[in-house]
Amino acid sequence: MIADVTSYIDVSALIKILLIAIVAGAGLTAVFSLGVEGLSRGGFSPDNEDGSTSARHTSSLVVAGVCFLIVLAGIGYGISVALTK
Amino acid sequence: MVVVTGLAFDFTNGFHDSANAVATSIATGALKPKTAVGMSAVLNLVGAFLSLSVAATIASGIVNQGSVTLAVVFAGLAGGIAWNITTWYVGMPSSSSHALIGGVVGAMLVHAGGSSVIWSGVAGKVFIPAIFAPIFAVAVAALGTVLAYRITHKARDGVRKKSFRVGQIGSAAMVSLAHGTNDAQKTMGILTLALVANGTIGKTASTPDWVIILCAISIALGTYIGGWRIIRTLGKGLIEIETPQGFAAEASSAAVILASTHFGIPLSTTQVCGGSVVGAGVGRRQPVRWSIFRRMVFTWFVTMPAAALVGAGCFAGQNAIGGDAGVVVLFVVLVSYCITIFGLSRKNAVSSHNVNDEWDDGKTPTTSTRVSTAAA
Repeated sequence: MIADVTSYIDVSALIKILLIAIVAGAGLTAVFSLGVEGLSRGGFSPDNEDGSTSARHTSSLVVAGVCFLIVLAGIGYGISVALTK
Repeated sequence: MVVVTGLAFDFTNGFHDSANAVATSIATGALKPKTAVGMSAVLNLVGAFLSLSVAATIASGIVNQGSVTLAVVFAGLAGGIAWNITTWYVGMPSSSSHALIGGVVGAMLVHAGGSSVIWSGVAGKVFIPAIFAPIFAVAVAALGTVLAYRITHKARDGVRKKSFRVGQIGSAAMVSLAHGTNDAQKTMGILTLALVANGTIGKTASTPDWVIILCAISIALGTYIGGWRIIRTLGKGLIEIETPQGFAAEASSAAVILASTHFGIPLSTTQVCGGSVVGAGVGRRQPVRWSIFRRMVFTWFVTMPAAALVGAGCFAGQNAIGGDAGVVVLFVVLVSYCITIFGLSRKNAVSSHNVNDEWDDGKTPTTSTRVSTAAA
């Protein structure tokens, strides 16, 4: 019976899909959030988009930048992997 | 004519499913409704060109190619379209994919009996993903939402709101792209079946370029016209959504869809997106309008059998009349059905103007005083 069912279901593909989705979906969301937190801590103000506020915590802004770059890289990598057959 | 009907299906698909990609962005105000839909249309177009693994699954894994006839494909498409239009009218985000597959399977059953349907394919490639995809989506979106709020809880409100808003533009773009890679494929697969049945292309041939191009364009057009009724249900009906949630939900949808496209599994983008929105609500321990979710899940279960019934009915009717006349009659019936539903929908039209109005628990999207079109 179990063999029967598993022959219909590609279990390994389903597990892989779940893992990929967790890493890419929730993981990248978390990294993005870290970036947002960095922006906030770095004194970035949404009303002042050129960042001309006295950036008291430059390091936080750098962290934010790195986070956003990771997200972008993750998306790019994800698309390229997802679409290669 | 089959090709035209196929393209019409793709149009209703875009029309019906554009909701998935952009609903939360519209609800949180990250994107203006028209901008959102326009962007989604373009990216659907791009996505449709990018990957063909799902089209291959549909073309070869669901029914026995040898016994497919043009009439079967036509009746199947008719079943799919009729169901799509009906669920659009009631604002329920049902799965276009299941409607299409159901329609074809139904027509096939009448035409050639149970042995012509590859049941293991239907189970493994349609039913199982249908059960798992929304569950995955709920889990991933809930996790993403929890993380997003945990990590940013000290961040200043303005910064948070603004950043996630920008992020949502990106994540909505990803869902649109993913939708194109998964959904546009399904019609391509069916049209490939039709062309094989017609002898236009060989059994082992891959989907011709012109099919890809036409499908991509019609899904993009459908998206641009926009299924506002469904956008409203997804964006406003299930939960009152905030930008970080919208972002988490969209990221989750895009990840689940792209991952399964990679494995050639034709899951329902609709169900994934619906699941993600619920997950985003659960992740914040926020009241979810479960009655609407229940109705949605019910629709998901009913979609395949219902479309199969319609597909079977269409095929039987078409056969009874016989030949080309049967096809023409079915075509006319289908067109008039669509027109009737459109007529009905004018009574409480949902458009880019009132898509974000307060939800008042109405069964269908509510009539708004701001609706400019006169009530019929």
